[in-house]
Parts: sequence; C-alpha cells; structure tokens
Amino acid sequence: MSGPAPGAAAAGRERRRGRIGWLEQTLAGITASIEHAVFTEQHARERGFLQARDPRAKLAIFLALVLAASLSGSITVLAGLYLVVLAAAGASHVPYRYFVKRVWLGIPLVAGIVVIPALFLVPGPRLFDLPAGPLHVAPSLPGVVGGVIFVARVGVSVSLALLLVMTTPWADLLKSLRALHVPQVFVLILSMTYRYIFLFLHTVNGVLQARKSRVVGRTSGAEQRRWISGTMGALVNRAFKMSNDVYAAMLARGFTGELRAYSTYRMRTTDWAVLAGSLTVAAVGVLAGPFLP
Amino acid sequence: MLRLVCRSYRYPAAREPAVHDVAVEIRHGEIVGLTGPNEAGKSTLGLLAAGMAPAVVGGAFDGYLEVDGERMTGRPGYEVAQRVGYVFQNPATQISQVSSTVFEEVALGPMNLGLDRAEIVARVEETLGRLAIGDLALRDPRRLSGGEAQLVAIASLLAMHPAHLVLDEPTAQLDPAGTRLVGAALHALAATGTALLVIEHKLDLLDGLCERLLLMDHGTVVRDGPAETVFADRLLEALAILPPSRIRIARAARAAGVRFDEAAVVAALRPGPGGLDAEAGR
Repeated sequence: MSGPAPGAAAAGRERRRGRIGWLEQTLAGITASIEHAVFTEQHARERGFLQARDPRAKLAIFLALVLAASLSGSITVLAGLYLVVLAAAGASHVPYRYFVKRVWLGIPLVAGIVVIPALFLVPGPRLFDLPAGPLHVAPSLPGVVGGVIFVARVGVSVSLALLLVMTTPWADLLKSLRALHVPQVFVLILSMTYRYIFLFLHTVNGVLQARKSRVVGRTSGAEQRRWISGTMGALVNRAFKMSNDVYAAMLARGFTGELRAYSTYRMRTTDWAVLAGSLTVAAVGVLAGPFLP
Repeated sequence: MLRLVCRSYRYPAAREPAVHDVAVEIRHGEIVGLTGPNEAGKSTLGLLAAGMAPAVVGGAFDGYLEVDGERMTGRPGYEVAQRVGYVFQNPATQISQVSSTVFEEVALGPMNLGLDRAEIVARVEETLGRLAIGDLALRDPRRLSGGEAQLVAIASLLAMHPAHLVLDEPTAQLDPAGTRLVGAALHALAATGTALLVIEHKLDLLDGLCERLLLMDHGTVVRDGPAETVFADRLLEALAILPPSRIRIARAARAAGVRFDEAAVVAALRPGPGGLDAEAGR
C-alpha cells in the first residue's frame, strides 16, 4: 500500500500547523486586546473637543443621547444622532477608520442575528417571495424596517459608549459615575475588573509564550487539548492568588473603596453649553421622531 | 513601634503553619533586614507585619500585630495599610493600572490619604527626584521596563511617608545603580523615623543598610541580632545564603593563607548608606 501523496502530506502538515497557528492567533489576539486598551487611553489624553469636557458632563450627555436613541423609532433621527457622534469623534481626534470599524464590524454579528427572525415573523406586506423547496423566504417590509431601526439604535448607542470610553481616562470615568451617585460597590467592581483584566491577560500571555518557547516540533490535537485544560486549571489558581494580591496592593496604597483621580473637576461655561446643547438635541430627537420617517 | 507576635499562621487550606513562634519588634527609624532560604516564610512574615495576612489573604492567625501600641488584629485591611505600607515583590501588582502617567501613579497613594494638592505635588516631585526617576514622570506606567516599574512601585509607597514600611525584595529587578538609589532612599526614609522591614536575598544590599538582621528558616526566626553578627554567622552558609561580599573576600583571603586582621578589614570594607552591590564590584 502506498503512502499519502505529497500534496496530501503537505495538506496534513498545514492542518497540523493550523492547530499551532490557532494557539499563536490566540496569543496575538490577547496581546492585541491589551494594546488596544492602552491605545484607547492614549486617545483620552489627547487635546480634543470631548477630552476637554468635564467627565461628569460627558457622562450626562452620553446617557441623554443613548436614551434618545433608545426611544427613537425614526431612522432619520438615528442617522442625525450618528452624524453628531461622528462630528464629535472628528473634533476629538479619534481616527474615523478605527472608530467606525470597531463598532460596525461587531454589531451585524450580534444585533443582526437577533433581528433575523423578526424579518420574517412580523406581519405585513412582503418585500419579495423566494421559494426555497418547501419554504418561502419572504421578509416583510415592517420587519425589515424594524430590523434596520434596531441595528441603527444599537450602532448609535455602542458608538456613543465607545466615544465616551475613548475620550475619558478610566479613573475619571469611574469618578464621574460616583458623582452621579452610582452605588460605590458597582464602581468598585468596575475598577477592580479593569485592573484585573490587564494583569490576567499579561499572565495568560506569559503562559502561552512560555509554552511556545519550550515546545519543539509539533504536538498532537490530544496533547494540545490536554495542555489547554491543564493551563486553564493553573490559571484559575493564579487568578485567585492574583486577585488577593491586587486587592492587597490597592489597600497598601491607602485605597478605602473611594476612587480618587488626580485631575480636579470644574464645570466651565463651555461644559454647561455643550451639555445644554446635547440635551436639546436629545429632546428634539425624541419629540420629532414620530413625525419623521 | 511595630510589634508582631505570631504563635502560628496557616494559609487557607494549608495543614502546616507557614510561620510560627515569632516575636519581632521594629522601632521607629530602625531598618531591619529579613533573610532566609526559599520557603523559609519571609514573605509571609512580611504580610503578617503589614497586616495583609490574615485580613486580606485569609488563613488562621494565632497572635497579634501592634502598631504604636494599638492592636491591629481584626481591623479592616485598609486601616492597617494606612499605618504600615507594603511594597510587593512584583511591581505589576503594585501599579494601579488606572493612572496614565508615572506622576499620577505616584500621586495615587497621597491622594488616597486626602492630602491637599500642593502637598501631593511636593511629595511626588521629591520622591521621583530621590529615586532619580523624574524623567519618567510623564511616561505611561504600564509601559515601563521591569526595573523602572519597580522604582515607580517603591516611589508610590515612599510618597505616602508611611510610619512603617515592609518591602519584599524591593530590588529584585534593579540594576546596581537602581539598587544603590533604593538603598539611599530607604536610609533617608528611616532618618525621618520610619520603621523599615526589608526582605531580601541579596545580603550585599542589606550590608550597610540595616543595623539588625533576622534570619528565618522553616517558618521561624532562627537568628535576630546586630547585622554584623548575623552576617558572620556560619549558619548563613549552612542555609545556602551567601554572606556579603566583603566577608566572603576576607574568608577567601584567609583560606588562601593571607595573614591580616580579618575583623579590621571586614569592618573597614563595610559600605555606607545604600549598601554594596556585588555586581558593582566595589
């Protein structure tokens, strides 16, 4: 019996490489996540329109506009709100390509999948009727309109959230949450989570790199799975110890549960004006929505 | 004064105590070194002295911690932490991750103490200058090298002017110059009345830095006395801990047949504040 053809052997090698490649991709993804988070904070330190605003005003603006987007059933209003978001992003030196891509690459996967049943289940005139064996693909016009509005709402809300996070240092954001009387325990959990994610990702990164540097040649799928499950167990142990260390280190710095940021807050005339303008835009959007397509 | 009496301390789910039968007192202005082989219980003793164990770490503790005559046992971790600072071995743990510049990072502790802004700025600038890391002030603390991060972590505690400070291998990732700076900064801190407990493997750092040295083994203190006496104790070598360079050199010279007054030479070679770096070859 002859052995596998050279092409098949090469394909087999590629498949095996693919398994190792998956690990490398995971490693690269984790590193990219860390880098992105750091990168985001860099934007928050730039001199731009939103960066210059008081974080409490920004948070209030964000909440008002998200509320307006959630209450609006008009695609015109949602498009208008999105244009406002894009204008604010431009004035804050947030790179459009990164900003738009980060929002719109993920949303169709999440919100789009959620609305698919509604396209067919909402009663109304059908856009078209495509027979597919015993089934008919026949989306309704109200279903499609509702789906587009839903995706647009999510898109505008996520864009607002991203813009807020990108233009506000994390410590300031948490402190402004406290200023708006968000319960301290909630803010504390957010603060700890943020710190912990960084350290945990670094640990995972280190574990994967250490493994990569020690492994010579290829490992079988079974070995890979064994290693991954073993690593997950070890990471749980490390994570537990690290959570203690992180908390203890915060205590060692005099942390009492109340967040303190070095920057002091002062609402200037411009902050009040921008806040008033945004509240007006949100109110107009909600009130005018029923009269617009 | 910091007083720790530990009859027994066991980590959660551990069967054997990590530290037992220890009584340590550290007076204001005193720098006490703590050394010992791996698994001797040094870091655990540090955690107990800083009130982190059992308050944060958990475990079963039979004993008490007293700071300036006040019992700290049973108090919330943050209350104890404000009386006794703790510098972690791994600077990544200490860095807050919520500050975007080193200046803000070092300012975080003083801010938590509720100091006014002018005082915070003065303390941060003074601490950064003392550790010669003023040029890092505007750098992102998450993007520092290991040595730089360690200096920033130490600075973040020094800026709080703690009355008592425990440091767990504070120079593990530092080069000789950084090690000397930390040594000098600790001396200056002790001169202001701070009680310091320095956990360290490198006895060359402790040489010239501390007047008193504790040697631990198997969870208990087996030597507690003047640093010169403990450095000269043969038990150090029995526990595979290298004595300071000057003592090893003197012993090597004597073993090679060189005739000299060993005690006088060893005393003459004693380094000044900041300790001696083996790597620096002084």
